[in-house]
Amino acid sequence: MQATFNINTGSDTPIYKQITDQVRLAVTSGKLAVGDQLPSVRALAEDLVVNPNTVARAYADLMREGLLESRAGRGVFITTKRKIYSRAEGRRRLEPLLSTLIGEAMILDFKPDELREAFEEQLSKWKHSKGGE
Amino acid sequence: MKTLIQKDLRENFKVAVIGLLFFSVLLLQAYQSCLAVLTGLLNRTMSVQVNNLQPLLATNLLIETAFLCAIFGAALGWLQTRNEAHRDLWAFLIHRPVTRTEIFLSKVIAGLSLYVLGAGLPMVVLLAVVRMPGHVAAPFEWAMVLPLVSIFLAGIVFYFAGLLTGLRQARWFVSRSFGLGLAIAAMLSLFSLPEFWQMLIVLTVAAAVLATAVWGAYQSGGFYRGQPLAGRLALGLAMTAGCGTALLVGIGLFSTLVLYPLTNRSLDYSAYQMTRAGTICQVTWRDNEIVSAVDLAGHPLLNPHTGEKIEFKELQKQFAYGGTVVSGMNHPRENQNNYQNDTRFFTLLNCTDKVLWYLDRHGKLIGFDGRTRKFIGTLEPPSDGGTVTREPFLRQHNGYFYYNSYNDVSRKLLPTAKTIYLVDFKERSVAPLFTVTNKEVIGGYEGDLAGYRENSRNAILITTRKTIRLVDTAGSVLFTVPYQPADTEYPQVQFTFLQPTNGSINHFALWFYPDSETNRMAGWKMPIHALWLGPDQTVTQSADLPFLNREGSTSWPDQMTATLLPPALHLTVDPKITSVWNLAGLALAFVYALVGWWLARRYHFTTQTRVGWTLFIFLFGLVGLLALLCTEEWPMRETCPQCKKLRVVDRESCEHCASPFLPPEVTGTEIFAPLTKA
Amino acid sequence: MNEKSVIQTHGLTKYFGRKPAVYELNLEVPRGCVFAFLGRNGSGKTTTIRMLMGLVQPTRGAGTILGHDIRSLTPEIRARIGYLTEEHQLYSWMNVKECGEFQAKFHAKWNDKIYRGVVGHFGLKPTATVKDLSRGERAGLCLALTLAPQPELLMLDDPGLGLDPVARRALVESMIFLTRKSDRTIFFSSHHLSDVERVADYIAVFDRSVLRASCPLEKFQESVQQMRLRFPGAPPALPKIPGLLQAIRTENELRVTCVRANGETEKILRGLAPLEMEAVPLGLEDAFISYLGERGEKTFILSELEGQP
Repeated sequence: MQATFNINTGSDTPIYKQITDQVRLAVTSGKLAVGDQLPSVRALAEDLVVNPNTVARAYADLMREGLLESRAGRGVFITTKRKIYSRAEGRRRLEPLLSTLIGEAMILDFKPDELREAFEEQLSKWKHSKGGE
Repeated sequence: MKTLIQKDLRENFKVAVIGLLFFSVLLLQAYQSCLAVLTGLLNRTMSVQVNNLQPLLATNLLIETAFLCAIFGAALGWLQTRNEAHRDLWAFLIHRPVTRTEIFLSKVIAGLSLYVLGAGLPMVVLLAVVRMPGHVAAPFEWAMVLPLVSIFLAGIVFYFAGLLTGLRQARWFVSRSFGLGLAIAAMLSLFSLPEFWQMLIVLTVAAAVLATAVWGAYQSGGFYRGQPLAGRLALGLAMTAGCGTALLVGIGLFSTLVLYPLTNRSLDYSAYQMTRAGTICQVTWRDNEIVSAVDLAGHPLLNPHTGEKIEFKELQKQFAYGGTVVSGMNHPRENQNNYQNDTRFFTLLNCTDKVLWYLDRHGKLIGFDGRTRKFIGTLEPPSDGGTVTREPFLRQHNGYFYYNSYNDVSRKLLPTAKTIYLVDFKERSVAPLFTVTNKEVIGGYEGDLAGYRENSRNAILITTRKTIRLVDTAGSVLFTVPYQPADTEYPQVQFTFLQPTNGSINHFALWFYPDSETNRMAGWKMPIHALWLGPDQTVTQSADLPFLNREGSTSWPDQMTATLLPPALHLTVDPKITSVWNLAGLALAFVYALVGWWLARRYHFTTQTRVGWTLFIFLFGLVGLLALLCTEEWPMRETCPQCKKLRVVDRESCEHCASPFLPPEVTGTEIFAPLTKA
Repeated sequence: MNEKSVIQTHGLTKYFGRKPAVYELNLEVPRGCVFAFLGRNGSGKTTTIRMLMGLVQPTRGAGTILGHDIRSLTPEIRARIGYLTEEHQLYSWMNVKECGEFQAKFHAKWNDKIYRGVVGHFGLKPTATVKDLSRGERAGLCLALTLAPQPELLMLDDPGLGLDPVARRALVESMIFLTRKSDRTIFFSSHHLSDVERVADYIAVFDRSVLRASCPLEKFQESVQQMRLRFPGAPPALPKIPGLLQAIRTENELRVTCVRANGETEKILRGLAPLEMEAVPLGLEDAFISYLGERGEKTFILSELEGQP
């Protein structure tokens, strides 16, 4: 499966962070699997029209995290998924997403029970597509 | 460099073509007007001075060409730099990976090629036409090309001035064009310098100075600072000439418009006149009108018929006639004919039967057929029995040929060193009339064969260094007197025919006029010497008359404005100015020099520069000071935080207390981080 | 040949008349990076570049470019620098092809492929005359002339000026293409922060003739922070805060932007007893605007006009 990335300028997230975030998302969402090859720094930079150093930095960060590995002369590959964040850090990152979700749901007039139901339903689909865990 | 030259050629080709058109029209028109003079002369419709028969030396052609060369040269240079005046296009040019000297050279090579095309080509065509037989009915020598050549070269000086004007980044906008001052001065010297080589030196120096200044401007982007020393010096000199020219123009305008109306009064002019009775009187003119006529005792002359004060018309009838000889044919002083005057090369003597007769500078009579405009032959003195070399004719004066009814004669007297010949142009014959004795050489003569004047008689006055003779048209001597005082001091002799009341003829008077330069040196103390001769060739009477009309002292506006001129100049060139004004000029120069010193100190020039400028200003006075002001760049001054004195901003540290400049104030919002890759 | 810094200045200063256009500039640009030179109009960017290019004599101070004194650049050094001027001036009578031929004659390393590529990218016909080109087309042509000699240092003075978004993208793509050669340095000034964000490694910020920032791009973005404080009523007067850039007050809110907010800053702000206080991350553009906007406390520009007829 080939992942596509896109970046936004003018965002409050620096471009290198946008890239790392999108790689992580693609991995967690299954768009990228272990052993998949990522485009070279130069290719991705020219594709996204960003400075190669920025891509290189994003890749370097991901390698440091252990999500990517560079195989000499062949390119950059997704390695085994490891736990990236500590539980507490994960929690901290999750919170704003949840509050956004709940906020939006409230605006759309969902009762808590309805929301919970929808959430469960979505979660089971997710499990299904990933083959369960 | 080739690329740059090609680029500049293409870019400015249009200018050259326009120049070419202008030059062609101008030269054609000037050539036509020379032909019109010839036609007028042949048809006897013209009664003016005839001096435009050789186009190469025609005054109007030279002046018009000078103007056009100046305008074309300056415009070409200016446009060549103006095209790149936009700072970004300038940057595009300067950022070529070539040296600025190469950029300068390419510009100049392209510009001069275009100049040659625009101005030179039409001139060469003109020359070719002039050289072709049947076009110009006047003698030709290669030296006649020199005036046009010098004008052409002066245009190159203007070209450099134009380049400089386009390049210069000056605080005083007007001073950008001051380079033109030097070019104008160089062009003007064309009409005052007697010899081509002098002109060539002037042009070479002016062109070199301006070219160096332009080269310097290319080094620094048009600024004074940042130039090599040679460029700075050249720019300084060019600006000095420019300031000088501007100042002279300013003074001229001020004098004419303001000072002269305040001080001017019409000047009286007095001269001695002799009546036919032999009485000397002193006549004073004002604005071409006789205002007084008095005898030597100071009594007004009276009308002999009425006894009243004499009136103008009657007075005119009373004056005796005669002629004047300026001695000096055999010992000519320096040739007063500048190289751009046709009289240096030839004099038009006569036009008979549509044939123009010129006396050229080698003493040959040369004939041109006015209708075919072709050379038809020469006239020479008959060879005197066996001697191979014929004596050349001497040219008497440098005046122009006036074609009018008086001059419409076919016979003329011409001297060689020994003999006065009668030349008959109709018959094309030359016959000796009078030969001086062996040891003498003819110094001057005056004779009129027309006999047109009422009461005058045909006689020829011939002077040698030893004697003065009056000879009649048959060659017999009417009188001989020794040349006394000597012709070196009294080179001008005037004779008058007298008709005393007793009716006897062969009474004459002779006047000896002192050389005006010698007289000036003598403080105008040399008198005019007069003597009267009776019929038996004896001196009956003589008198010394005080010299009249010494050159008036310079008027005070002149003296005052002279103090503005460079002291070095007005002390050496114009010693007439009285010492008080000289001292004033000197004192002013001292003040200017002090101002220069102070300015140089204020802006903390190096000692060398400061001394240099001060001396320069002392020599050149106000002009030098102006040159300093518009040449140098004056950096901003601000208060030193350490010593609280004003200091210039273009030094690394304060010139008073040597403290460096403060870094920018820290606001706490600075973000500085090492530039290393993450 | 392999100096670490391609540009270095020390106390570089330029006065125009009474005003300093550039004051005591100490700048260093490492080799092989993309360096963005930012600042408002008239803050001295162009003057700095022109001084570095040896076109303007500095009033004082010194500088080197490619290790060479900027006061006496040799043709060899110039050949190694591609310089794109602000207003894209060319000989108006030349056509696109002739411009290329003209430039090519001066540069041994001229790459006609690059030239034709860039020119094609901007949709320029070889026969089009310069004087008939639009501003953007001229910019493209100038860019092609600057890139085709393959210089090791590119000095681009506001290359995006006057370009439409498509042309600007072409410009950014060209710049990224150029970074393929790793020791090539691009120094450019710009007002287009999105372009800067895409290509720049480092930025330098000029504010009224003075260099205020010089750092990696992200470092700048991180350093400028905004705190939003909500109050029950009108916000209280603002105490002195180190590194304060801007404070904007509305009815019951105070937005404080400052450089390098830290625990100390937070403590001072908490002292104001706000109902709520949160840190708001800023995008590069917002950070830049706060950084170069009017300093100190202010309201919205137009609010002063309220209540006026």
